[in-house]
Amino acid sequence: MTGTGRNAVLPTVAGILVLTLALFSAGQIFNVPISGDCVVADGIGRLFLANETAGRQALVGSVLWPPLPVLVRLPAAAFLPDGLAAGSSRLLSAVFGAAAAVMLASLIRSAGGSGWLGVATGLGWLALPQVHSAASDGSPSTLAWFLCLLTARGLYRWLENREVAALVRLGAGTAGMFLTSPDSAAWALCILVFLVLDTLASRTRNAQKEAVLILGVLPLVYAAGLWMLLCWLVMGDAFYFLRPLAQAASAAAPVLDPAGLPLSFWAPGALALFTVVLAGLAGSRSAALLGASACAVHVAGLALNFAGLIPAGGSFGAVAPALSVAAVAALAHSRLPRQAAAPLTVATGACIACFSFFSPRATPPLPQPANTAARVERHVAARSPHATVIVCGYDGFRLLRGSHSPVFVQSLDLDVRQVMADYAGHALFLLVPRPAGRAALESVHRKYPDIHRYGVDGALYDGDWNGWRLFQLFPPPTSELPPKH
Amino acid sequence: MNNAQHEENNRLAPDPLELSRVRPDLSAKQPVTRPQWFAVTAVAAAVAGTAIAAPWQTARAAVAAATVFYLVVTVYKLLLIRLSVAARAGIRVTPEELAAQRDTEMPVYSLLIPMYREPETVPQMIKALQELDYPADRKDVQFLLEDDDPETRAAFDAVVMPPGFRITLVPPSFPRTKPKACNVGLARARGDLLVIYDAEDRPEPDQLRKAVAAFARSDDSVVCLQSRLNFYNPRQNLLTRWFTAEYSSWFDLSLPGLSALGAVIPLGGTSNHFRTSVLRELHGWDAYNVTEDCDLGVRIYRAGYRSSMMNATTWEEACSSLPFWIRQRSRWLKGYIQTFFVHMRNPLRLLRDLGPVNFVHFHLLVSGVVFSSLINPVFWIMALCWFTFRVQALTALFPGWVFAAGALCLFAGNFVFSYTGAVGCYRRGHYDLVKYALLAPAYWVLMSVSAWRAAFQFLSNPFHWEKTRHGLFSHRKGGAP
Repeated sequence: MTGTGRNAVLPTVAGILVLTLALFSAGQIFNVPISGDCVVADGIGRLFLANETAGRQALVGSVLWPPLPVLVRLPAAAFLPDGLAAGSSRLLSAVFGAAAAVMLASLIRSAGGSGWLGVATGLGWLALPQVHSAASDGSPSTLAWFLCLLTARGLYRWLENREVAALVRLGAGTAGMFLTSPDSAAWALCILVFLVLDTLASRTRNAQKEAVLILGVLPLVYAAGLWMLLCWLVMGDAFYFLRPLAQAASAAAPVLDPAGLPLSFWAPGALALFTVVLAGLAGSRSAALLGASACAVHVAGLALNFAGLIPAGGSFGAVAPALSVAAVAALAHSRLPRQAAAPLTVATGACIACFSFFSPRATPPLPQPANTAARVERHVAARSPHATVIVCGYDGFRLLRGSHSPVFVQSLDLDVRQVMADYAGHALFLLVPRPAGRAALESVHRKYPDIHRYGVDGALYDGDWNGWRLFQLFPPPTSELPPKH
Repeated sequence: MNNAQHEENNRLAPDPLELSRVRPDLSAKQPVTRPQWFAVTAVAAAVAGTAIAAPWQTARAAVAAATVFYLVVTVYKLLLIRLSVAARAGIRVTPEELAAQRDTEMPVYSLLIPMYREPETVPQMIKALQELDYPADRKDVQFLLEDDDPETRAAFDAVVMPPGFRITLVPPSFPRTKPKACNVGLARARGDLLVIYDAEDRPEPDQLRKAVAAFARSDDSVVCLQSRLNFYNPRQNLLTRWFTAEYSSWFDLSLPGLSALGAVIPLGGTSNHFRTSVLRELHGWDAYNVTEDCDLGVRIYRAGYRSSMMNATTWEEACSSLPFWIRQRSRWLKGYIQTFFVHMRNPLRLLRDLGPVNFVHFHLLVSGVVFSSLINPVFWIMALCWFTFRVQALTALFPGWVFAAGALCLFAGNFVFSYTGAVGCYRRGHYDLVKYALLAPAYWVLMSVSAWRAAFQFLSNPFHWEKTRHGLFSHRKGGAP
């Protein structure tokens, strides 16, 4: 390896290792509870590796639970026992958190900041409560942050130097984000719009424009196409994974309540906007685009929050201050008017302070679902020794965390008739989540809109368990189900 | 001195088969040794036995092993490309270094151009070599002609040879291969440095100067510099577009990545620059190996030396005819099989000579290329059966993690390989070829056809050299640009 290559790679790897160790140890020492999203991703992975149809359905079936966070966990899920697999998920989120911080440092350096400023910014960002808690609780958000910063760095370097390596990073990053979370996917689409506009406006030959668009956009298009293909193969509907979006749109008209959003949401956005304005004045296109990319985090977050797909702010919002600070660094490196330096410094400090003090936790603490599953199991066992409980939706992975009972069968695409046919002779139960939050966008509520309230034909209400409603299914006496009332 | 005198002088026969005589253990003269036959037969029998006793378990194990192999190759390829784009891999000679060179200090440079029945390339080749920016009195150019090739000799008779250019006749003997001709040229070479060019090559004019500067900057362990190869007829047809994408990816991304790792480099067949003394110490090329370049690349490392990439390009003619392309590719893959069997005669010794890291590189680069080309069709057919007919029996062959890894290789790995070709085209400035690079999977089918042909030929006719037909582009277009 050349000296340059080795010099660049070794500190990066060392930095990631040290930070990973610190974040992972912090999670273990302070006994940070594992995030709910992590439990779902782990659960999907296990079911997928068990070669079950439900596992494949879970992997590709919803835009709210994209496949990449599951796929990166598969090696650990495949070869480690359950107890260690949870630890490995924490380790993984720590690795991506550390890699994101190192990527941020690298972005700052690329944007003209000194090495020390990069390191300080990376460490400072990791110290934000929302960031370090997600990096130690197994949350998949850290993967989205890493990919976002990778993409931002690619975008910046592409705009500055037109390096093909930067374009490849940008393409890979956007494709990865499309497969990581809905808010990161929305952000990735914004970035590609920037890229397309920039390319079309550039003064290069048409063949080169075409090549840039292919290299930059194709990975995301391919990822989307692949997701559709797999969805078609597994679910029989290429757009199945996008149905929650339509479901959200057709739900009761969502209301945008900007006042309800935390200050930590608005502060980085305001800083980014300020940076964009100053970059416009200073004539720094790359600083403006970096600031605009930070604004895009908010645009994407607001749009998805408005659609009811993500909670206010969303965990992806944690990259907004990182991108905003990078935009400030790029701006400082450009021909910034001297008078603007002081307000910019103050705005940056205020933004970071707001984000630090007013941030919500990245993901809500995990409820105690294992107890619920055990109680449901005891309940149905008392009814019949041959009981089977069909657990509907992705929330089922949280409910069944730690449970290996054969009584429970997960379903991501419930078909009541089919279930009755498949489990003929069993005492069959249906466990349906309350249609609230993301659970309202589960396919079971799309296919059977009143299932939680009224059940379905042949289902008899049997009880409520921490937001879950249990129905007992009674097969019809003949091969035909009675007509609907 | 006229051409006839040159020929007369060169009739003194050197030993073109030196390696096979001095180091038969490193020569492909005996393609497969007895212990190797025994080992191959034993493995085949064991696999057949378990397949009969437990067919599903055997198939599952085979699928799992192949999937792991695919996964490793995909990650390996990504690593190489990451290294090649991240660091300035290989030796980069700057214009300032070239400007600082003094003609009087330049070493004598031997240029070997083996030719066989390629009369149409003679004027172009002479012109290209004359245009090389190097002191004329320090160029030692040898055109290596076979004794039974009157057409090419006639073509040379029709031109006036510049000073320092000569013809060396290769006496007719078995095997009839390019490395044998090169060995004859090596024996008569006068230069301290030596380079091989093919008849249709167009090296960049400053290539020799760059090589001199690169050797001067390197330590003595670097004995070979590989220039980047690319084509001057990439847009002739779809095949040349794919071929260009492949070369752009291999020479501009993968090989610089290997160079950055300090790994064994399977040399390309042309534009390899050597320290002549070390090449002689290594007994030249193996006349029995039909990819003598790849074999020599491995032997260089086994002898404790190194190769490196250099930032100079030679433009070649991409084979534009499918039958000729398949023959050329079959020869390359057959040569890779020969190289594998030659160096795996004593795996422990190879491990000791190369070290564990380069041992792995050797297998991924040499064995891996052939193996993947051979087994690809099996997996393509399985994927096709699954997508088209949903053959349930296939599910049993793919337990959970194998399915996951296999799907990753199928969907992500194949995309990465195609995308890499596109990146290579972009880097090389072939912007309009980027979209064609994405159609590479069709090209891989041709590679698999060639691989199976190579495997059969390795068993039936291991030393047969299938000559690549050059000059097709010039013929069609009335002269290359």
